[in-house]
Amino acid sequence: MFRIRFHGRGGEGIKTASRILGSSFFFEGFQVQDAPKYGAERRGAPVSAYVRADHKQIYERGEIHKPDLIIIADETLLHVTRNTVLEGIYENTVIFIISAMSNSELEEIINCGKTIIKIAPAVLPENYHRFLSSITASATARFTGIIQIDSLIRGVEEELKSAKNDLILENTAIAKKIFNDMTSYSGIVTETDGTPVITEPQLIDLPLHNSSIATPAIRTGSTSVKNQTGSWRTSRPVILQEKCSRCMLCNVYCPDSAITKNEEGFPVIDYNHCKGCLICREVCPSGAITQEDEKTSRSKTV
Amino acid sequence: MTRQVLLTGNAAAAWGARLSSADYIPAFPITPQTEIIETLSEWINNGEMDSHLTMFESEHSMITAAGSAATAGVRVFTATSSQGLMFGMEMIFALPGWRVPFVLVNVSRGLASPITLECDHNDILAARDSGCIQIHCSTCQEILDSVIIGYKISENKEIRLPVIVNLDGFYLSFTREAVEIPEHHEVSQYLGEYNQMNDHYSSSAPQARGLIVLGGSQYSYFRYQAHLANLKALDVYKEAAEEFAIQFGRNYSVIESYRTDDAEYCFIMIGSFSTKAKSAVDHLRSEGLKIGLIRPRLIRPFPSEELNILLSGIKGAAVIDQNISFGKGGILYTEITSALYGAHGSYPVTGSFIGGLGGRDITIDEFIVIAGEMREYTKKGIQPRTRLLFTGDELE
Ligand code: SF4
Ligand code: SF4
Repeated sequence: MFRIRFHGRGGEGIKTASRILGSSFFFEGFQVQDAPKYGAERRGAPVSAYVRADHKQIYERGEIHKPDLIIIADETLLHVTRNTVLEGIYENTVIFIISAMSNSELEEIINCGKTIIKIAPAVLPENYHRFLSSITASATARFTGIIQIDSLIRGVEEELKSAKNDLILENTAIAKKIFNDMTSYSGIVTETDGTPVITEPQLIDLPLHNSSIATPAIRTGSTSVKNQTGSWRTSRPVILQEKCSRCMLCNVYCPDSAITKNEEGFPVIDYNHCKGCLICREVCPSGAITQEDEKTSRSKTV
Repeated sequence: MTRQVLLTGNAAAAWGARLSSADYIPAFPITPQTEIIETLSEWINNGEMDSHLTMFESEHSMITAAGSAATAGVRVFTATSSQGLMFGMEMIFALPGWRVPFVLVNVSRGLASPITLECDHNDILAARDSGCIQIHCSTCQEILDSVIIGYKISENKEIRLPVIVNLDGFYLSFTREAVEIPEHHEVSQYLGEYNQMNDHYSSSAPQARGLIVLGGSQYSYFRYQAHLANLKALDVYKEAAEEFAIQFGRNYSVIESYRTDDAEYCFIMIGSFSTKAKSAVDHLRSEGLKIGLIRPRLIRPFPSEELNILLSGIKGAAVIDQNISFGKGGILYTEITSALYGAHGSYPVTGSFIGGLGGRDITIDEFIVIAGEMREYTKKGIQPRTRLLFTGDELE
């Protein structure tokens, strides 16, 4: 069985990536199971997806705790949900990441002694975020050494069939390119015989606690401050003071109270918590809020 | 020609409704069910499905509309989940007394509080005593097929009760698996013409449902009739499943059993995690433990006799409940043990394990711990205490 786990952020195409891979396996004659896992949150929140492929019926289900391959489509996750992203690494696990970091930096951060395959954004087209699902699915297909290019392309076409024709063509083109570029890694992810690796869980007897502990309640107002939802942002709102009339409508509509007023009465965005929903841009009557690509503006400011 | 495609559990449920030619679909969205009505509305919009979909302002109205439309003589499909099922619960309990057929798909999600979006079975088991028939699924294929079989039972002239087909949120609803989609005309042939019986609307012959009867005698009569019809559904189910197997080649007994022939131990559970139990069974068998899986598909009517037959010869049974009745424990455990009581000369040592609440995983490792514990207690001949599948790390 192949057990493959994708990590990315909502809106980056992680679910689509897992489905392209799932369909590609399916077209190769495998039994397949693919599933996304996400919470109640919106674009930009961490999401994961699983693909299992086997020659016989698959009985396992849900989360993959010991993956043969981990795909990290968004390297910022290593700072936010590191333990989730790197959960269950075992001797065969291979890690694939899209990252601008150097190999030694990556090794230091991931620090698990496993094979790390990296694609640097620099070798990808500038707008590669639009094709993240095809890029990651294609690389992964190549790593298995089993999926042929025809099945991969069929998978891309199948999963993007509701998209415009141009977009499908751009996706299949980049999928082919990545598949070729990754030739030297063909077969690096190997199929296991499916036998589970057992580690005995330590079950406990849950005692009765006082109801003041056992009530699901938030009793302080500041917990949301600790949750740096700014890391979810894929687009960044930027206020142009020269156009701003200081009406503060943006402040009223921001669902995260991420806009405050400075001494001169201008709105200021708290980028640690702004999730990038761009509602502020929508409601601004003066067109004083523009949208920038988060990754680009972040690298500008760093 | 039948096709095999990758479908989510939600899409499989929608296909079941489409192939069954549901005429009318009252709808209300709720996570993780929404994809079902989205899929159906898209098909209707594209002209791929000939049906009417109406959005309601709540599940209470939606389920009322399902019953009313069925009374008017059309084939009805609807779907909900969790809090939605709870909100419609007044009508879930009322409609079996109307003796109307329709299929409702419930996508299981844990109940508040605290709120969750993920799966457990307290929602569907709250409908246990409603009179609706309950079919529980463990794969995407089974969902599609169960919707079709559901109509066959529901519309049977002796039954005329709503059928709820249950599937697990996330673990089935959003999970894709290979599903064979039968031909539409073959399903039509299997289900036959929709038989309105008493259920038709005509302004020249008005009728009323949901009546009041006072004094208790008539009430007792009608209530017991619904009970008898529900019991009868067990035989009707068997016939329907047999016919289904002949026509479509897939076999769904009232209880699925996996590697139980020579088994000394077994897991008993419902829902999608039971496929995980199968991989645990395979693993434990490879280590020499004679263990199997017993998975009731029907919870109402409850297949007591079939259960007893399967359990004869089993020494230790672990019932795994993804639900909890506060103040009692696992609901399935209560159902199983009450079905066993008095039936055998001796019955197995039966352990109660509660896990998978609110989508918490039950890992294969935990199945193995459960099996170990059952073995130990069976040897001693005593019932193990109820265990929650919960580790020290989780208390952090
Ligand atoms: S809504 Fe626009 S004009 Fe008004 S304060 Fe905000 S940025 Fe300025
Ligand atoms: S994009 Fe604008 S409205 Fe949305 S969270 Fe950020 S500041 Fe608030």
